[in-house]
Amino acid sequence: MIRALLALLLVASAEGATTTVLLPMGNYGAGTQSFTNQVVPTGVNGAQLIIDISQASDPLPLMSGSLEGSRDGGTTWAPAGSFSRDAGVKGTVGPNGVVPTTITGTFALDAFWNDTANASRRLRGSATLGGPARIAISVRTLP
Amino acid sequence: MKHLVLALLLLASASSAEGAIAYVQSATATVTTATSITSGSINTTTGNGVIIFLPWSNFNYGFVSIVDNNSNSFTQAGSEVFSANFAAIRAYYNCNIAGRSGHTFTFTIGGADSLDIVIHEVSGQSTTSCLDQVTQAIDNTTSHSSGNITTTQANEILLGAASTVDANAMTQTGTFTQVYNVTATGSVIGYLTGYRIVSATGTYAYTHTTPGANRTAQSIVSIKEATAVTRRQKCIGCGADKVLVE
Repeated sequence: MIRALLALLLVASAEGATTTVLLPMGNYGAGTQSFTNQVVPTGVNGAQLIIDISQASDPLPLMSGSLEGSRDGGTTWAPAGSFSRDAGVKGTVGPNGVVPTTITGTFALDAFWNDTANASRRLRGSATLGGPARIAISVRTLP
Repeated sequence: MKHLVLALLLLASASSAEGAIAYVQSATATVTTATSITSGSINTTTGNGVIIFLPWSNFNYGFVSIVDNNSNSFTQAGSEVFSANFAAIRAYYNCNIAGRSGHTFTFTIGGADSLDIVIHEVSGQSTTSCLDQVTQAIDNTTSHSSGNITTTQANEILLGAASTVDANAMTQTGTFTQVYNVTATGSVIGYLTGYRIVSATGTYAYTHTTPGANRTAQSIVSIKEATAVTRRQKCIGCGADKVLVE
């Protein structure tokens, strides 16, 4: 299993939301890509973990993503949301038949994301690929 | 010879007030295309209740399971409400959870599609039979309702949720406190959820509006307060062993 600490490559703000690209678009093998100890600004009350699958071959390998939050500067950690997608064709989602271009998990309200005044919050997370795929991974914090 | 020292026994009622029914906290998560979604964690309290709403597109794949990371089981309230080309919604509950720190909840469906999970924790509910009423409805209009429930007990908490596949923003109406509101996009099932505490029996519904016709599903669940606010009798003139002092 490949495990890599990812460098932050891009931070962009739009309407109060901040998007951090954790892994640029590229070809990646099976394994887990992770990031850790990212400072979460006060006021942030949720986040999206986004796997861009727009350039990934069809069918997709298994893909999963998870976030963990620390409210004490990185000493202890608790789950802050996760998702998993079994291997299979991209297909369409919903009754409107939309072809998905991302796997986007959005998480809010729980103990970590509700602690909006805490300046000691930190975020870490990972994305796991069950096989090779061309993807990008980013995190978007919600104001 | 027994000498009766105390002949006066007063029975006075005192409200034990173990706790009025109350909203505690929530967690929510949504994903655009996945087979399972897990909420962020909350620190729950043993003996509290949990009510879960599960909006998702079951156009392609059906419900598989709702589980947590503390071996609690959840009972479905009512039935799944769904119509072709609508988003489905289910409600589940547990009247007496085993709580823990880092409590998470996972919703799984049969294949990759759009799904959401909404968790509400409540306190002061009946721990043996907390579900009073539930009803669900679907429509394709601008004014949406779960349909009416008529509660059977004065003090209850009402929890409502709505799901939609259309991009018109939902505006909660009525006197519910809104907890969360997500507008649908092409691949996100929109949802809305809120709660209301009532102190009298009555007829209630969970309602919202949209600026254009939305295909929506609504659900409302009423949870009974513990009858605990039963009154305990206090023996005046009794010893610590609750026996009358003679």
